[in-house]
Amino acid sequence: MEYLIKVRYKPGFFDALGNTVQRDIKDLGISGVKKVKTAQLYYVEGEITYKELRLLCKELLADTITQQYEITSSRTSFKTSNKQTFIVQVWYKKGVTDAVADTVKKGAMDLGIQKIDKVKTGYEYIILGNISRAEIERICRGLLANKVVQEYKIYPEGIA
Amino acid sequence: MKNVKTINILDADDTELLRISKEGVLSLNLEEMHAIQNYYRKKGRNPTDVELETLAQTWSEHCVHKTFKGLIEYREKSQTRIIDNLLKETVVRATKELNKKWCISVFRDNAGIIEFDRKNAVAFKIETHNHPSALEPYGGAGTGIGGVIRDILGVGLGAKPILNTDVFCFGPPDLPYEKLPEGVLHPKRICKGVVSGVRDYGNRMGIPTANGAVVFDEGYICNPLVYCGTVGIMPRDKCFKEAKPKDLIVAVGGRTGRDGIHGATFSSAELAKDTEVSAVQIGNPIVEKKVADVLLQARDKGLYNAITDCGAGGFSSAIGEMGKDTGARVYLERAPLKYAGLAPWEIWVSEAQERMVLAVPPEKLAQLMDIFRAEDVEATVLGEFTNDKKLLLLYNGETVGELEMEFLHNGVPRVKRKAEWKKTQFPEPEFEEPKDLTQSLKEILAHPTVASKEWIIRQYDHEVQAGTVLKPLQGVNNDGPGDACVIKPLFCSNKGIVISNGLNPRFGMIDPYWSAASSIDEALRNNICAGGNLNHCALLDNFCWGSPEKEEQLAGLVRAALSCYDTAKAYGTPFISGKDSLNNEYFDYAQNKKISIPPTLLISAISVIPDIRKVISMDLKSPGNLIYILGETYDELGGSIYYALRGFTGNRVPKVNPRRAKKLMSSLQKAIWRGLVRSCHDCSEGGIGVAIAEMAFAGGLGAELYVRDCPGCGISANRNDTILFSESNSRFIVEVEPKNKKAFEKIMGNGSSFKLAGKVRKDKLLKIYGINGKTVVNADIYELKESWQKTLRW
Repeated sequence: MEYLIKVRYKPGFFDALGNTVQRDIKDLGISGVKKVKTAQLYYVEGEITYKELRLLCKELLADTITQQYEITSSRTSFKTSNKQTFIVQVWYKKGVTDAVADTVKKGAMDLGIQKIDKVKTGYEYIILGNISRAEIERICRGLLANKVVQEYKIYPEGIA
Repeated sequence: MKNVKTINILDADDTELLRISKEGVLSLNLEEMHAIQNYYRKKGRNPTDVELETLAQTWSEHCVHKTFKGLIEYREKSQTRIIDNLLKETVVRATKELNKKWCISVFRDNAGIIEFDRKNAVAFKIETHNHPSALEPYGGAGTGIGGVIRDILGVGLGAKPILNTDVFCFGPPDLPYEKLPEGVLHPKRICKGVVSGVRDYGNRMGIPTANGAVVFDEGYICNPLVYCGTVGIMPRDKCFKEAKPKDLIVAVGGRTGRDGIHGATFSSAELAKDTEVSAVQIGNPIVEKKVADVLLQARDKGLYNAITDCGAGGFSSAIGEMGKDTGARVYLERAPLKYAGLAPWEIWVSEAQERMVLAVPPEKLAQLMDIFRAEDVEATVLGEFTNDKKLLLLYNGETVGELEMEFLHNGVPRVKRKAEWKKTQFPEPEFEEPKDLTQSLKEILAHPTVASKEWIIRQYDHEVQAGTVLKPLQGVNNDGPGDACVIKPLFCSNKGIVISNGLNPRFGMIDPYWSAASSIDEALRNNICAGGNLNHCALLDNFCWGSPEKEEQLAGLVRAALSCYDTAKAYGTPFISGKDSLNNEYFDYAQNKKISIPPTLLISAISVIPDIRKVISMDLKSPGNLIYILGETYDELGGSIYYALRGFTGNRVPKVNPRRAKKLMSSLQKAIWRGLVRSCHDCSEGGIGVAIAEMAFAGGLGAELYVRDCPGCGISANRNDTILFSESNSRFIVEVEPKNKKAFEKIMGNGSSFKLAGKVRKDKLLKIYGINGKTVVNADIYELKESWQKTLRW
């Protein structure tokens, strides 16, 4: 079974990374971005129960005071029909060392969760604003992903 | 043989030999390929891929410093001089001739080691990670600091890291995107990535990053420079290592993967748009922290005879070096891997991070494995050291490589190069002296190289380990620019170490001889004005240069090295370690030419002081205190920020008179240790003007300065802007309480140039009076501070 866990800051709590990215986008010379929200992504594969996943989230992946988590069973689950929103997911390329993922696996074992086969970590950036497809591509290549070790996917796909 | 390829070089002609080198990213030139060809002719067989890779890594410029150890024919004007081993004739020679008894281990191990107290020694190493940081700034910088930390973990029998220092050179952060060559990341992005990379690694290792510098210049747009350094402390009886035959080869720490393959050979070649990308290493500081903790335990229990880190070339360099005098047998299938599918040569030369190699006597193995298991760090026996002087590599029973250690380490043909020095004449600026220099002062303060680096410094933990006495940001609001940092490594002793740096590539563009001398002077100035000790002070050199195959560039390198000898010898400060990074060039396809960096020599200084309670900060302390200018100001605006802002380089680069400077610094040191000095700051970028401004706004106090009659002023330097902004060496601004005036002047008196030039004011104004006694600067210190802080407030 494959699961995707998203950990993001609760509304009202300061998203430092989101703020930094928003400022960096301005430095790229792109105006029109109103807000950037971020989430840490954990892709988990294995024979795990929902109960175990919730334990993993509460004890290891999320700081439940400031953050909230979401467990889904699809890789590209998000809802957006808003034309002024782009969602970018950034993952490491195959074969690149994912140190955080290794630590998650170890931490899960310590929690008594035995049957995790694979963990991958990534980032999700929700970018709200009036920007073009070309501009979002620039943001991805110039800021969010280093093509040397990472790859990115923009949603919605193919809409200008 | 099924796990290896055999490369046919016996039948290869010159073209084929070069093709083999290029396609395999071996970076071996024709002469080297011939040497290898002859070796295998005598053996009567062709090499395996494992053997060729081993030779390529071990013979790479990065690992063996061919240029520095080769023969150079150096021509200047009409005189020729043959230099046989530049390193030995300059840097090492100074140290040998100075013969300081407190130098324990120099130029032979992973770092330089000097005495700290009766029981302990300190080790210091700085190295660069330029090429990987240009490609992947975050990973490149992080693994840069990870690598130098490992050098300290692997010096002698292992030292405990107690301080990190970082010096960066980037392109201008406000570079317009249209001017960025294709395939190059924007300097601001590189800067942010590098800063984050070093931060995340250093902070997680629990090592304070308390010292550093950042320089911005157009020459670094395509080739950023990332210098990372670490200081460690160790017991004096653990400073030497020796692998013995029958010792087991034990690999500890991280697993091996494909990351960083060809890092050593890649770092020895120039970058271009489509440079191979797997040569980037990925770091994991948590693993390194665990390795550091467990190694020190094993060391103190005497469980290994030798240790080194896996850096450039991975296992091939580490085991190759450790087994140099004995011989080694390695079973490559035993190496723990991150994932399956690596070929033997990949396992052997991978630069996967966080790995160390130990030489363990068989009877100590069980105990060693117990300790490692208890701390959850992997340790694996890969083989054993032998006494046949051969390197034997096996994979699942097959011999995949067999080389004589003698050939591997001494078979590299000596490089012969030519160098010719021709001094470039830059246009000399001619403009009227501005009446009011306040605006010029603000502009210099706002220049990215001078401006506040608080945004960077605050990301680094500089307090962890609780030993930081003098911190990077000083003054009433903890935001003024410190000159050096001071660490007190032992809880039970007041002894300390003072770390400082000196770097000025703009001087290097004019004459590397003087920029090297100036960098040494700057590192020592920074050290002394914080309370450092000129009598127990060692230097590190780190050369970052363009291509040694270009005669003018090599000539600059020779000049810089010669200056290192002259200057260090005169100051009495030996070099204990150094590194070089050559070929920092970028091939710009659009312009069809290679762009080199400006010649950049980083000099770092470490001194041991008996009492950290004598250390002082640079911020002005009390109104009414006297202000002195020490040292002579000359018309030496060549390479200055003042000229740079007007688009000029100039020619009159600051020189150094080490004999006089040494006298002045020794006297200043005496005065500081006697408690006669309240604050002290050296003059560097922006000269006297910037120095007094920084002291003033750091202290939240105004100051008045009368430069008329100050040493050199009105003579060589006969314009107010020259006096204020010339970057002449060996100068300090010093604050002294009125009651100590006589004592201070007595100590400084014997033949040093100094003048009582002003005092600290009660209000918040900086007033500087020029040669005619008229005001040339009249500014609110907070306006000056704002100019200084605004630029890099990211």
